[in-house]
Amino acid sequence: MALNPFKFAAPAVFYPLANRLIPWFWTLTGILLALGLYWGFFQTPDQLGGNNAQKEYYRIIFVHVPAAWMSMWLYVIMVFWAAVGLVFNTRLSFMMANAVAPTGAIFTFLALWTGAFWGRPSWGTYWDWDPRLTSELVLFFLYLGYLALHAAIDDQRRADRAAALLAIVGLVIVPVIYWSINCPDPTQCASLHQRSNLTRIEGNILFAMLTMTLAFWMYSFATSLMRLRTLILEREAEASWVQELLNPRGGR
Amino acid sequence: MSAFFAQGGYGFFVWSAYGMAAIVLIAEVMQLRARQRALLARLARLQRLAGTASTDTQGTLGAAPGQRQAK
Repeated sequence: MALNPFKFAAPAVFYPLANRLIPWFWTLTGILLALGLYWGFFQTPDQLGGNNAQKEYYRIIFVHVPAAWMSMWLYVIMVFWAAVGLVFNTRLSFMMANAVAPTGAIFTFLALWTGAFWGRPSWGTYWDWDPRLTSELVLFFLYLGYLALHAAIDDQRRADRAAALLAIVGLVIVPVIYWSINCPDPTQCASLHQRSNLTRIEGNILFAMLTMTLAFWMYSFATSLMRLRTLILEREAEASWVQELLNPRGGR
Repeated sequence: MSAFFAQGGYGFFVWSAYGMAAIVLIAEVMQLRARQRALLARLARLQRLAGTASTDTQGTLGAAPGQRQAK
């Protein structure tokens, strides 16, 4: 049987699939969150606090780094679906871009917020106009701009296209965020923010951090699919498959 | 237990970060659930109204969904 890649591009086919997938993603989110938090708080006392250079506030890393990663990955995913929507003119692609955006904005906000509460004890300030922090703030405004532009245009198709273009143009900020601390020559980096180097992180801390990252991925899948499900129903309310879904017996 | 909450004196920073993460993520899920429920209720009501409009000219059936309407 040949697999048709466009089969699931039909909202009527995708809606029940999303319904089936959501509970699985929530289950995985719960397991990974429990494991990541347990490991982060109870398997790291030997590495954090006491005479160690890293104090207890370092535990903010378990939400900060995964949230910051998600903020960038989700933006790339949003741009991917926006571009697919513009090229192939598929309704579901625009809806997917739309479903991802609020979750991405939330993770961007969390990266900034948790970073502030990490910066205060380690740098002595909640905020600094450093390249990494500033570019991440711009990313947050890009998410808000995408959502605001989409909401401001009444015509659904025009809103999809205009917002998709804004998202694609905004993609330029992602490499800026990445290289704002990972520039080739460390002496040329003006960042207050630490460079990221996974190989220098202690094993237990790295394990908790990566587990939390997976948990945030599963969370993002779950919330994006929940939002997508609602968007599909909202936009397809007039379609016969929605009418049958609401009233399977065909009239009461 | 109190040592856990103190986090070596950095409890304020650790719990401010984790607290906001919990609040925002739980709020997102609750908002999504509420939105889906409200939408399903609205669509079901619209369908009932559409169904009764043709058969129930007296409006006796149509009155019930109107009273049950939230908001």
